Amino acid sequence: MSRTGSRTDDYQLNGSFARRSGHLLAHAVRTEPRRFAVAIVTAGVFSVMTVVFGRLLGQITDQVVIPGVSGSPIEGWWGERTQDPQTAIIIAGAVFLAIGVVNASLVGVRRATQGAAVAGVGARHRTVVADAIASLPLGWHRSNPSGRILSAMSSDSETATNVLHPFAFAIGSFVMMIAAGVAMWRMDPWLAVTGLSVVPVIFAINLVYERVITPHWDAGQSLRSDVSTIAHESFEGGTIVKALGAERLEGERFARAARALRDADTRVGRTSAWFEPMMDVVVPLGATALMIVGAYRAQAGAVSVGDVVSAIYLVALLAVPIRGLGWVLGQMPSALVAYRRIGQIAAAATEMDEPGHRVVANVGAGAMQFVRADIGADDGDGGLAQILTDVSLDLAPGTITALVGATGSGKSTVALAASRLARSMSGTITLDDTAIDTVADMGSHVALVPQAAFVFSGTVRDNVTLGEPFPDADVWEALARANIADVVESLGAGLDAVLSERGMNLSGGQRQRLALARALVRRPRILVLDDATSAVDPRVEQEILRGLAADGAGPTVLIIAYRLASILLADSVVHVHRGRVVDTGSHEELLARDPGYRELVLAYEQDSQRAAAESAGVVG
Amino acid sequence: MSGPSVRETFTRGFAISPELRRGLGVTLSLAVGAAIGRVCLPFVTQRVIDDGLLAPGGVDTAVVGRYALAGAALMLFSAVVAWRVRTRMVTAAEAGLATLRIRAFDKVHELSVLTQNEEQRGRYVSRVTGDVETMRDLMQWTGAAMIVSALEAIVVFGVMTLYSWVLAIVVALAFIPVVLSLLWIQPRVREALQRVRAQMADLLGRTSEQLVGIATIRSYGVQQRMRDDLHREIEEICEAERRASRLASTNFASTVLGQSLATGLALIVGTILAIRGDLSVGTVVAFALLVYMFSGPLMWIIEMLAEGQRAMVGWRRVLDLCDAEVTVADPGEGGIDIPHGHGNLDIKQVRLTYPGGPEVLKGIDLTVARGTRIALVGQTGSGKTSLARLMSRFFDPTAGEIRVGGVNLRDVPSSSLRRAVAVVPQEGFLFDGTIRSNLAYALPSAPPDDLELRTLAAFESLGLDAWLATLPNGLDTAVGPRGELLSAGERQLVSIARAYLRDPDLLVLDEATSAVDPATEVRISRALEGLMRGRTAVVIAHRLSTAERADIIGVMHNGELVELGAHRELVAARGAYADMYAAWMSQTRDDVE
Repeated sequence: MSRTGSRTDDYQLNGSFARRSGHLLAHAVRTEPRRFAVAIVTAGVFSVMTVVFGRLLGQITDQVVIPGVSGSPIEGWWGERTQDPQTAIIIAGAVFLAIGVVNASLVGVRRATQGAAVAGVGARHRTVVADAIASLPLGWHRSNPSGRILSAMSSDSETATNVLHPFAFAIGSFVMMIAAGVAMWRMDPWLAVTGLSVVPVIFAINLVYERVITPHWDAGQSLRSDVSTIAHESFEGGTIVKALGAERLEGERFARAARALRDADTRVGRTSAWFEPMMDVVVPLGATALMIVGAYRAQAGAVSVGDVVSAIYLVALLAVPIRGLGWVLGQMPSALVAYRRIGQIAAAATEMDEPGHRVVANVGAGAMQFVRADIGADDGDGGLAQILTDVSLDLAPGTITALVGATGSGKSTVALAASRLARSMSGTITLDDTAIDTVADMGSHVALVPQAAFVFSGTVRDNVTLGEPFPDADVWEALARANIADVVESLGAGLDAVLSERGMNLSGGQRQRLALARALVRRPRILVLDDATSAVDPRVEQEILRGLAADGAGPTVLIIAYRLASILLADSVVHVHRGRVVDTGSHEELLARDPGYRELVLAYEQDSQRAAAESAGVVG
Repeated sequence: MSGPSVRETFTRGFAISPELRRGLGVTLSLAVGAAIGRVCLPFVTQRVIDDGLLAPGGVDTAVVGRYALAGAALMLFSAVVAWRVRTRMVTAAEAGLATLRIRAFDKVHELSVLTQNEEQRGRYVSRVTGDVETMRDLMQWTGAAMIVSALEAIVVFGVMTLYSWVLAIVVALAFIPVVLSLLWIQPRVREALQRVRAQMADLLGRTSEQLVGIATIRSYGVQQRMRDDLHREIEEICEAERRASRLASTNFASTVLGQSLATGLALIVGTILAIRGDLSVGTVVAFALLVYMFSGPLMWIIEMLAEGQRAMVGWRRVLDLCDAEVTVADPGEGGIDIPHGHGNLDIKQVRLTYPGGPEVLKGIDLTVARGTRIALVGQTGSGKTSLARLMSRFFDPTAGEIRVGGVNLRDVPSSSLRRAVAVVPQEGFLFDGTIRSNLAYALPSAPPDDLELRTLAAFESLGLDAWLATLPNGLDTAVGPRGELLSAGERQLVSIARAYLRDPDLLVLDEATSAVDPATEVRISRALEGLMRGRTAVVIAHRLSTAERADIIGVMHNGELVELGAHRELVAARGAYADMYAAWMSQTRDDVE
């Protein structure tokens, strides 16, 4: 997928903190250029207006309030309009209010567009993760908990975008600082220097705070995940805890983790306890400094009283935007971590949806051959771990082949390789004499049914068709062949019956049968059943398997099964042991010449005979 | 949320976490001090302007300096007080939350298994994690900040009134429409955010479904369709978020409007009063700052109300869990122990109805002699699992009684019950750690050396020593979360050994349904034989081959025990069991022979 490919590069973070931060912000602006532009412009205008507001307060003091009170003539712009102090102050108040209305609308517009922009960036993060899911190698899914994807979609996407909320505001703050600096400078450089000295102080406090708090915070986060892990595990094994009477032990285990978290969080809290009051006190202290400097400058006749008032007001106004900048800086480290986590998922999503290009005729049952294939599974880090060595198989059209072997022998990897979900490292795997790597539309030829049945909340029809336009009659036929049509009928709404999340209203066997129907409706030429009927009642399983070939037009079947009866249905049996094919032949042949196989499949039989003897002893 | 329920939440919450309340009075008094210190800026400004800058004989720098330095000192002092307030709040909050968390956790394990279904479990986890976290903000920061802000607003308003009650009223009137509109918008914002959260949950649900089906999705080439499904949900979330932010933006706009309105009106009215000689110039200017200092905390409180309410909901939920009724009461010290070596089971007229559900057991009578093995067979939903759960007292029957070793289970202290009755569930669930640490659950008080010896002995008598030898790290083999580093069959083996170490008198076994490879299957059934030898055992059988091996078989149907007897008797009786057996025989045995 080229779309994912180009996006992947966007999510690579390199270089210094400043560079990475710049990258994150640039990515956001590129995603929502117009909205961010509007938000930043309104924030800038708002800042300038706020400074004007402060400047105006000083002017009004100088030109209207002081003369009005002392009975001197009204000065400046106001003086040109009226000499009546009351009228002048009403005009001044109205101008004040007008600026307020403009500012209020600016704030409204900025907040709304900024919120919309941030939502858009969040949606992009989620889309990147959503697009990656089906393109991640199966090995990645095996070696990463599903929580990794889920948290990338939820908390990581949120953390990576939270930092953007005050972004426009923070840029506005720069504008405001500059505007305030210019306004003060024009009054008097001394006032400007004094007033703006709060800015570096606030940045310094922020910087020190970030340095000090980060390790505490990290420690807290890791203990938080401990608490959550213990709770998860302990509640999931609640029955066992009860059965073992281990409630107290578990309680102690949890209490230890909860107390460690308490201590860590208390440390974080105590550290930030000095930060907020310090930040709060910097601006008022700056204001008192301004008063002293202002007094000397006013005494020297360099500034008016109104100028000092303006400067004090401007510094007070600066407090909020400076905090906004601090907020951005404070959230940036965790945002970068979250962003990188999303990026890692995107970067790992290397599988192509349609790697093939050669069209293979879609008629009759398929033939598949493995010729001396070494097959690897992704280790989750982009590498391949070899699972199978030198595997040769011949699945003749219309036959049933059973794969038999102990747990971990590599049977499932064979199934995955047949469906092109695991790769051959050497040797070849062919479908109708075409290398499967090059076959186009592989899904129309081979259908894999894994042991864990995938059922999603939605209608029965959607679950079977997966959105493809199969006619209802075909869906019903597939349901019937999978022996689940009667269950669907009993749900009462036909194919529109709604299945709950993960098909919780179906039993395990019913879910597996539904998954089988999904494969059958596609009329695959090769059907791969990876222990796909393990939870189905043995009798029903037999019916289904026999039914597959009943009309003579059934698919070629590769089946991994543990039940002897299923193995007996196969035309040929392949015994896999420790990643190698030990023997291939009919059940009888293998039984006769392969001791490992004999041991494996007769285990059931021996066991039930031994038990029969025992119970005969007890009863008799 | 209504008033009384908030008060109830606090009362109950403080009762469970007394740390939250301890020293609260001192903390709040300090907070008032801090607030007063913070509002001295406008006062200093007013003094500096009136007595210093506008002093009759020109600017008086000495007066300005005095006021400014005094003000600075007061502000620094208040910052120190504020630091102290926060430290106190944080310490109290964290201590209180840890207590609440631990209390809630213990409660979950006290609740009967009846309430511990799968769907509940996730909720319980979020009670002790997410819900407590939302409260954390309230307790250690939002709550304190709200109180401080409220105090600040009150103090500022007090100062305003002292300067000029007329101006104070003007400011208050200017804020009334703002406050009203915020109170109107805020619930809608909250609602919009709730919708975002609900949609987020849907997205996560759909994503986890897809994660389960990833092989299917790729195999059928429907990747793009699945992505499109997610895109739709993501788009909806985006739209909902935008809607919420539009609503919220009006909030902020009206705040700014109120601020400007109040400042403008204060300026006009103040100047008019000043011209009439009722106010000084410094007071008028100070008012501009006071309005700013008044509106800030006020708006902040309104904004935080939503957070506060969410936290209250979270708190309520955790408290409700803590207060949930324990249906299975442990008689404790006063109970009667089950005598060792007497695993006979007597079930008399037992009925069971799940809350809000139909009756699942309709009067069961069953006696199992000591050392006998009984298999319960029947369709899914026939009640065999429910009956087995009653035997281990995961919950109590609605009517009737169950006796083990002659003692009614209701009278048995939990410690004795867990020693005497062992459960081996279908899914061998292990805790993250090693095989050894999992076995230690069975003998928590045994010293390590002793545990090792007994463990090895157990493995030997269960015929599992050969298997243990194949593990590279032996007893120290890591099992991973839920034991997932081991195969399903191996987990089962560890569970069996764990039960064996308890040396129970009555065993309740739920046979595993998922297929494991035959070699492990054999190991499991041999180990089970070893475990059951000489003990009373109740087996919930999913396979007739298992039932066949039991001394007696109970056939459950629709909440009733319809047939009871030895395998041969039941086959001969040509009833329900005989039918099941015939069907099973026809499709397994004929193929083999």
